Amino acid sequence: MRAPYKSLFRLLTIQAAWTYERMGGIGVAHALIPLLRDGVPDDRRPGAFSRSAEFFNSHPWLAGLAVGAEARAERDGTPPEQIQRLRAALGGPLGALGDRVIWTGLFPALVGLALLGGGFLGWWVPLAVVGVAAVVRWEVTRWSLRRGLESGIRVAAVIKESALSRAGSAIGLTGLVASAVGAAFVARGGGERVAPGIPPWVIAVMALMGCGMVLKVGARLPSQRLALVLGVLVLLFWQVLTR
Amino acid sequence: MMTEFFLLLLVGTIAGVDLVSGPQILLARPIVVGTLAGLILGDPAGGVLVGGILELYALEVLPVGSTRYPDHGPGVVAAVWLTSQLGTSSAGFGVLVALGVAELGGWSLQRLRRLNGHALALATPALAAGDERAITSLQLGGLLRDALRSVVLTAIGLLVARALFPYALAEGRAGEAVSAVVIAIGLGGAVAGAIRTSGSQKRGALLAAALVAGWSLATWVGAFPRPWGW
Repeated sequence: MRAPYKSLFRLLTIQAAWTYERMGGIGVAHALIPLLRDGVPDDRRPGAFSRSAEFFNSHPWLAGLAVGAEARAERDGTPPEQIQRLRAALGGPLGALGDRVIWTGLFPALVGLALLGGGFLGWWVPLAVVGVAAVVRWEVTRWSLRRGLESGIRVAAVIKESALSRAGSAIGLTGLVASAVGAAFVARGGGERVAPGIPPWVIAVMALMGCGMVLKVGARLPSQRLALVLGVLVLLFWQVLTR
Repeated sequence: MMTEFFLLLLVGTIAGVDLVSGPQILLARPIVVGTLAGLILGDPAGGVLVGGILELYALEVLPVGSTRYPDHGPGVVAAVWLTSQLGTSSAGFGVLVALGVAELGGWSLQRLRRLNGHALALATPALAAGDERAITSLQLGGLLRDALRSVVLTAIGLLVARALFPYALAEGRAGEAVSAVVIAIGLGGAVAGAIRTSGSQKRGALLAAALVAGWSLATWVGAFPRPWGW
């Protein structure tokens, strides 16, 4: 198998050795191994492996841009300090772009589609959505690695001019709308399925109150902890009522 | 029975690994895990229902590397199993079990990262010398630990669901109230997550319109999921 394809497969599990100390650094180094073995002089290679495993944090889907750029820079004999600066400069923008486009855009959009399709059409829709995510993941990773390898230390311009950067806002908006429609659809329809005796407006009012509490208290009280507490209280209250 | 158990373990493990190590292609999302677990148990509609309700909680979460976030996947398997045994009236109870397992999953993620950090500390001299075998060993070790974490978490979820089975049966009449609470708080959390990321007033208005549209659509269509058969 050619080195870029080996690297491409390794990029799919880039966060396996994630640590607080070096974050995704080891995953980047693992994806870089096939590319550094191929085309980097023997005397430079140990230093390149060592540099590749240093601290790095970005978005897993877009880390290929950094991996490709670093491999190209090592092959071109770029000074080590410049490669380290490149790594430091790439992490933030790649992370921000990935969060905006993938985590808060594409994923909520696909999940919204899975919720609506699963409710309307059948169980195959959520599984088809995984297929779509897999194809997009493969293509985005392949694109990012190829563009990184082509551009080397000039990779910043690729990020700025990419279709992902331009489409970020539209994808984010699509994700917001699709996930909100899907969430309300599940809450209203799920309530009718599992709690038919409770009027929908009661669920809506409780949801508003829950939303207010989660927003007010912040990260210390995510919705799942609130639900755990309230759910157990309901069960205990029921015990008292029925004895 | 044993085949079902091992297939459920496999689904939970794939979900856990997808969340942390990769490939991060929605295999960890509750709606997907629920559907797969439902298919294994011969109740895909129940799987979509429970997965859909738990998805409300996952929509609040942004899985950014260094933050602590819950691992919903393995718990969904347990919730779908419980619901498939007792019927949809116990879905709320199953969701509560899954949320407890997801909390444990969040804690296990932090432990995993610390264990990876310990292995990293041991390998630091080899990394400084540019030893590529040290890099490969760290990466594969991390993947293996993650898989082990996921399989144990899924097994714990299923054991807890089995242990709570009699209580879920006894609390059947309270099922509606619990279900209403978990659905309402889940929706509240999903909306809170959307408000945090929406930013502008224009997006806030769009969010409100989308929520009304989804609610109205379900009012028109009826219960979730529709009886689509299979």
